[in-house]
Amino acid sequence: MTGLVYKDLMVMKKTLLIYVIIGAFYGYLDISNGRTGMMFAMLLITSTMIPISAIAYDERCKWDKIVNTAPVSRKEVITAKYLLALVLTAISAVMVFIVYLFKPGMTISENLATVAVMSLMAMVYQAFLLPTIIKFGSEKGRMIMMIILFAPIVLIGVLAKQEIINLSVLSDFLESNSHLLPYITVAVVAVIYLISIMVSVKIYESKDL
Amino acid sequence: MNNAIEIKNLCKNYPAFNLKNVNITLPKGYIMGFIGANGAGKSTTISSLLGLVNTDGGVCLIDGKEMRYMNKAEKAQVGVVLDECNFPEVLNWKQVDKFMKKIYSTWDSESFSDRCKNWGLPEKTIVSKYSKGMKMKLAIAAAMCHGAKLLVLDEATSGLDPVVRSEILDILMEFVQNEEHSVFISSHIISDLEKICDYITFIKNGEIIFTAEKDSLTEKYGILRCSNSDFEAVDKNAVIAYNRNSFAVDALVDRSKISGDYIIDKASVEDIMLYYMKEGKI
Repeated sequence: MTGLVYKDLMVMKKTLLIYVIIGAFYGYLDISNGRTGMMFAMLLITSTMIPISAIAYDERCKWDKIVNTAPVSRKEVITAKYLLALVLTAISAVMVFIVYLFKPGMTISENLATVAVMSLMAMVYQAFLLPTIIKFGSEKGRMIMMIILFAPIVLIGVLAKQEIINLSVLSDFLESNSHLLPYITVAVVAVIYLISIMVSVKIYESKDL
Repeated sequence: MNNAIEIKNLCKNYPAFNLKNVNITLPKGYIMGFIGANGAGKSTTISSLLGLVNTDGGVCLIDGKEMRYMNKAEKAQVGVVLDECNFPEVLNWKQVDKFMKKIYSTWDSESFSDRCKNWGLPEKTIVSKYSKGMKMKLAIAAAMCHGAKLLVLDEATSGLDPVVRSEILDILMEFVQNEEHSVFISSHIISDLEKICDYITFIKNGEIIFTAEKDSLTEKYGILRCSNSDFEAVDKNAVIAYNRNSFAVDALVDRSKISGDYIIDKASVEDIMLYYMKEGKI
C-alpha cells in the first residue's frame, strides 16, 4: 500500500510544489494582515485537491484496471487514497505551523490548537469528498460535492431559523462540557473518517473497472 | 494439473450487450489467441477473467483460482497488458520501477531496467512523450518483471507498426519456452495470432463460435471454389458461409462433410473468421 501512496506523491510532486509556493505566499499575507483565513484555505485546498487530482490522473491512464491486477486488494487501493489525503494534511499542517511561528502574538499552544482544528476540518471535508469522487468520478464528483457540502449547512440553518430544531441544546451541551470538547471533536471526526473509508471501499468493490 | 485459464459458463449483462455462456480452456505452456470483431466481447471476457468487473454468472479460473480470491503471491504470477499503457503519464520508467517494486514483492528491477534499455526506452523521457509502440513495450516489460506465469494481453499489438508487432510476438514466443508459462492474447490482427498461437478462440456477439487448436482448425476447414451449378450439389450441412457472384461461389466448408471431387483450398484463421462473420451464412 505504501507503494500506491508513493506513486501518487511522485505523480503529484510538481503540483504539491506549486501549492507549497502558493502556501508560502498566503502565509506572508496572513502574517502581514494578522488573519488566519488564507492559511486555512491553503491547507484545505492542498489536502483535498491533490487527492482528487491524483484520482483524476488515475482515471486518465486507467490506472485502476492495472493496479487491480497487481497484488493489492481494492480495499488497499482506497485506503491508500485516504492515506495520501492524511499525508498531505500532515504536510500542510506542518507548513501552517511553521508560518504561524512567525505570527506576532501567537503562542505555540494557540498555534497547535489552530492547526489541529484546521486539520480536523480538512479531514471532515475529505470524508465527504472522497466517497463522492470515487462513486461519480473526478469530474462529476466535484460538482456533486459542492451540493453535498452546502446542502447540510443550508438545511441546518433553515431548520434552526424555523425553530424546527433547537441548536441551543447542542451549544448548551458543548458549553457545559467544554473541557471534553477537544476529545469529542477528535472522536467524532475519527468516526466520520472511518465510516467514509468503509463507504468508499464498498463503492469501489462493487464497481466495474 | 490446473489449466492456465478455465472460463466456465461466463455471463455478463450490459444494457446493449451480453456475454453468453462463454467457455474457454487454455492448458499451461501454450498461447491462445482470442479473436473477434470490435465490440464482440473480447475485453469484457478479459476484464471478467481478471476480476475487474462483476459477472452475472459462471466462473473464471486462473491456475484453478478466481483472481479476486488470490493471495498476493498468486496475483503476482499474472502479468497483464491492456490496450494502452496504464502507467501515469507524467512519470518515466525509472520512476515506474521505483513504485512498482513497492507494489510487487517479486519485482525484478534489474530485469525491468534491462528490458527497458534493450527496447530503447529513454530513461528520462516521461510516458506521455512515448510513441504508442514504446508505451506498449513499457507495459509488456512491467508485466514480465514480477515472475508472471500467465500473460494476459488485451489488444496489446493493435495500433503498432509491423516491426514492433513482430518484436512483441517474438517476446511472447520466447516467454512460452518455459512450459509453465502461458499467454492469452486478444487481437483483431489475426495474421499476428496465426503466427504464434497454439489455440484460437473466436467470439462473436458475446458468444464463443469456436475454441480449438489452430492446426485442427486449418485442417477442419477449407475454402471450396466452384461454379454456381456445382454448388447446388454440395451438401449444405458442410457449408458454413459462402460468397456468391454471377460466375462462381466460394464457401467455407467443413472438409470432412464434403464428398466428391472439388477444389478445396487451405483456409487461414483469418478466412475462417471472415466467413463466420459473413451475412451469407446458411
